[in-house]
Amino acid sequence: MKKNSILTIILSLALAISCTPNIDPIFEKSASERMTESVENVKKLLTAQTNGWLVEYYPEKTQKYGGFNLLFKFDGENVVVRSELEPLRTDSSIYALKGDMSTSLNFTTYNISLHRFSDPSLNIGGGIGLAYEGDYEFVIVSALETEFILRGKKTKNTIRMTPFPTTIDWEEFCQQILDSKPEYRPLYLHVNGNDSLWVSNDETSLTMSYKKDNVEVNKKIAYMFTPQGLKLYEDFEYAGKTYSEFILQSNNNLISAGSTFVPRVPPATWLPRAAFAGTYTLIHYTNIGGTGTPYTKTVTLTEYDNKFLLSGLMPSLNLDVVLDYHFGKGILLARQQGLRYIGGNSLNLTSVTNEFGLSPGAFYIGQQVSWDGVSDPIELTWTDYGQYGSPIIGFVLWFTNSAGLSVGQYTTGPVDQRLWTHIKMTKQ
Amino acid sequence: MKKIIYLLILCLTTSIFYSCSKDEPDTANSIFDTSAPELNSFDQWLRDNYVIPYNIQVKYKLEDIETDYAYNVIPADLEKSKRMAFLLKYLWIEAYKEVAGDGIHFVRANAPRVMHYLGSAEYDDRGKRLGVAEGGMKITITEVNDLIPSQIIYQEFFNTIHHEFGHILCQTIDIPIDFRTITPADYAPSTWFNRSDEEAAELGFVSPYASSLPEEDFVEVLARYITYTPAEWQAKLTQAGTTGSELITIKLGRVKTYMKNAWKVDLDQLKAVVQRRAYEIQFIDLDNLGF
Repeated sequence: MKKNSILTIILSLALAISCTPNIDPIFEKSASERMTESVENVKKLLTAQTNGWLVEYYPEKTQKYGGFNLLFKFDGENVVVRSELEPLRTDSSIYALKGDMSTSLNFTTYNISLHRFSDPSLNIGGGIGLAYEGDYEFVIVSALETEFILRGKKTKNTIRMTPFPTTIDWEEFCQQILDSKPEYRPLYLHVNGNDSLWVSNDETSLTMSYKKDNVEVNKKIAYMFTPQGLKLYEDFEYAGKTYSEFILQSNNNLISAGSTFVPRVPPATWLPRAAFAGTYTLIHYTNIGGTGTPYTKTVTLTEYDNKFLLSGLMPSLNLDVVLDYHFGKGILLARQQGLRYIGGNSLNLTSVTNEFGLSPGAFYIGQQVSWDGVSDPIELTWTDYGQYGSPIIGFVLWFTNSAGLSVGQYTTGPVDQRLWTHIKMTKQ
Repeated sequence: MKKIIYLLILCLTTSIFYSCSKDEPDTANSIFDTSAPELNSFDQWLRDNYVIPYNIQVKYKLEDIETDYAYNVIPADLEKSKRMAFLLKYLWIEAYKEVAGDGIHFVRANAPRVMHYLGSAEYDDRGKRLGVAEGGMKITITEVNDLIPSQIIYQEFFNTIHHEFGHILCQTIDIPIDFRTITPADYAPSTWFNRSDEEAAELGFVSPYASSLPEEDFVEVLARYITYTPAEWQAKLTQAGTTGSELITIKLGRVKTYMKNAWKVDLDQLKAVVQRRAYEIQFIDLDNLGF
């Protein structure tokens, strides 16, 4: 009995400590070896395109700013980046290929053509602190001679790269885009037949509307411009058709997947974006009633990325106010915003109601700046945009601290450079 | 029977040892890239001016593991990084080396091992974050892309670097107890930002941030005394009024004593050297540094 139990113990011990069977590896090489090879392979593919790669770049995780054409030309350790926004500009910087979470492509020193989409200090897009929220570090999902699929590390956006054709140069390419980018008017399009598809657009996305089981469905997809028209961030399938690229016709119609899209007639007060830029005579008051002698200033509206900068409202502070363009209504929007930091506090342009109450800290409240549809030269009036209980009649300069709490009114300098009510501006 | 058993055991044990096939490491192919990295001219300059003399690594290329995913930030511009590295060596490292009792050894022993450059500030929902010092190992310098060399001593980050280095020194040798007792009641860790410059000065603080904690107060006095011109320091004292300026002057005295006793650094001498070097910068052609 004892011998048997000893034998059993020994045998079971032997079994227990015997080596686990060798697992046959699926790959011939180890994971780290394959990673190193992958990085080398990617570098070869990237640098092989001497004319560069056309990049369909979408910043921000919901693609709300639309897409942009970029060019990446890789050479050794450096990359030259070009952008459709400034076609003549070339900037060189350093990139790195790393094997971290899959092979990744990182742009490690500053390149203005690319990093303008990520620079949080710019007062564009989401404002200071956010700006365009674009990526400059990408996971390489697939790498082929003819196409790279990247994914932004923070936005998770799909960024597609294709070899830039050798038959054309970048400036020509960007010029073609500008030529095919007329004053984009709000569109409707519909497909004939039982499956009605309505498409409306704003400046950065198309919204597809259709009925599914009698319920209206809206799908919003961002787009970017191409030399022929525009291209969607992702394909849209409906009623057996796939909509991807939209080709612009000479009569301003757009065609995609055999369907035709016709621009709608916008409201009489609609102005295209380009019409707002210029120099204006601005007249305003500094009281609630808009009585007495008004103040006059010469101001300019200049386009800056997707926004407008209004300069001349406060010459001694020399600060610009940012205005947004609303494509659907053809108007500008002037909203509450931070202007600069003074002594640790934020100096803000704050909305003022007709009781000189201040609207709460929400930075979306403000006024609309619109045309009457008749005046020539264009006269723009600043009126309440209907976002708050009491009508907003103008703006004042006000301080908040880093916790967002009110500190007090800015009271330095002449009153007409820190308080504006009942504003009107006429183009010179 | 016993023999058989022992034989069995012997066989089993031997076979166990043999069946454990040793996974021999493949020494011929390393999983790490063992080729020497390519050094561009800036890398070479850094090796000769930071790494070899001081054992400091300057990371000017953004590495995502070094930054915080919760913040939005962009990389530093290459040319600006070159200027920044040059200026920091000229205005900070070499100033301390000139003045410290044991010169180069002081810098080698106490400078951070890593200097990390970021192009913009780091922004999150609460606003922007300036330089950061981590446990004596690393200093992060933000807003490198906003560097204006002629204005360098007036720029926030120049104060920040002396401020952060001050933290590193204080993390090694603590601030004196008699510093904490000068304005003990007025430290406000969570509400300091509500104070204006004037209010803070009148309470005896060189900046609102200095009034958050004694440790911050100490390094703020240190940094601002070094980077302010004599006129600016006098203006601060005037702003503080009689009581405030008296308190600040006492604090400055304690800081000077600490620097002398703990680190053999004469603060007035350091200030003079930094200011002199800041003046000398204008005669250096920063666009043609040669690397």
